[in-house]
Amino acid sequence: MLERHQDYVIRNITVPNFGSAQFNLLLDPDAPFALRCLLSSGIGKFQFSLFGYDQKRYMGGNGNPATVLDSLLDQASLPFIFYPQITFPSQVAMQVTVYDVVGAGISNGVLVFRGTKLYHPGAVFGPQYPPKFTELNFRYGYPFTVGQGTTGAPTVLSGQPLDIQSDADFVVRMCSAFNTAGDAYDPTGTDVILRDQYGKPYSNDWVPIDLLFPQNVPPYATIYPEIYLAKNTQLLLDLRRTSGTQSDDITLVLHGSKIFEAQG
Amino acid sequence: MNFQIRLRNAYGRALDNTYIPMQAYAASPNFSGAPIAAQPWQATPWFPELYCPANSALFLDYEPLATGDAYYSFHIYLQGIKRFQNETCKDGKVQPPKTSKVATPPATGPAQPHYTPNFLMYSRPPDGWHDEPFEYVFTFQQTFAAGITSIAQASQQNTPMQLDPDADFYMRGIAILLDPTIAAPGAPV
Repeated sequence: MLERHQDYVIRNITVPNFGSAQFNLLLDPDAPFALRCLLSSGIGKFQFSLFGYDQKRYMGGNGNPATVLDSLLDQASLPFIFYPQITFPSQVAMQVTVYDVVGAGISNGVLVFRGTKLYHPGAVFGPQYPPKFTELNFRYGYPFTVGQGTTGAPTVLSGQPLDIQSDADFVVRMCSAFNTAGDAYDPTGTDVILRDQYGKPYSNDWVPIDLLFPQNVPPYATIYPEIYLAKNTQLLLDLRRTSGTQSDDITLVLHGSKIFEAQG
Repeated sequence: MNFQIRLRNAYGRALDNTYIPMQAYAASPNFSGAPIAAQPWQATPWFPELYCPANSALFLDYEPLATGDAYYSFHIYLQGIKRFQNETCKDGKVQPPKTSKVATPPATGPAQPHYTPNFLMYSRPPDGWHDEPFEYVFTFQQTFAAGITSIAQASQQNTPMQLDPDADFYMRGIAILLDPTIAAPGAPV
């Protein structure tokens, strides 16, 4: 079994005060999906229900809407964990209902269902560790300058190469981002799509940047399973801004280890 | 004032591909430059551990992200263990090793967890050796009479962080403390 990081995204989630809205998320036809956590961006307190393929109903969210003491999903980057994982066959529709529990309504929120796609070995590009190796803790930083945009006219940097050096393979375990100049870090107006070197994406839509490249909150966003990159290859990144008043200098950092093949 | 930094190990190999924001290396309660409000604060784990031979040095390159301040000051904390050989006493007996604080995972049994925390995967001292927790602190600070007028003025390269000669050091965590900044003379506060 080969596992590959995957984000399924539902965007433009709008729910009236104390109301609910239902969404159908069509899964890709290439592989089953193992759902392991749910993340939110641009959404306050809410509850959700999810119908699995086994027709079981999974509930989650704030837990106690009367007192709102359990702010499980109050903050972005704070995932709701599904354990054990819920496995969906390929090409089915995931039914999700979102409830507003505090009367504030939800406008243009985003939910990200994070897990792994499950492939037969060899069915998809996926280099692996050598039989014997040594590791070196390492970070790759990539600075970008992105102009401001609007929802109707976003600024997009497509296919930006995140190059891996030629001396060793690299395994990505965490990601982070840092604004160095320009507008402040804006997770509601900055999105990313991560792709492998052949352009195959790790998500079905734009992912809010704070859910993949959060800022100033170590240990940052964990990538599971790790993304293994052979030396001299690259990841590809699409970066989009739909907000701001000026250009933004932002540095994206991949945290992980260099992998040196050991001889003998 | 925030910095971009680059670390090199004891053999001169860079641990990043370019200058990256210092926050990417470690947590700090005051990267905003404000006085420390959050206590306690903890080091960011470093995995796998970084081996540093005795009497070697790590090296730091750094450059500020902005100009204008009259003063910068930050501290880098390297946390880990020193590995010592057990002392041999005069009567020929070997001093018993100190008890390690790291729990040893059970070798057998049906209840093996699928998840193994990183700290259990750090190296262990061989027979006749023992580990002792240790923390190195290095301070980087400078004052500029007329304020920092250019990025290059406050940049440094290959600044050594000299390690002790008594034992090898295995780095397992890093923390950065950025002191509050002081405005340049005459600049609005």
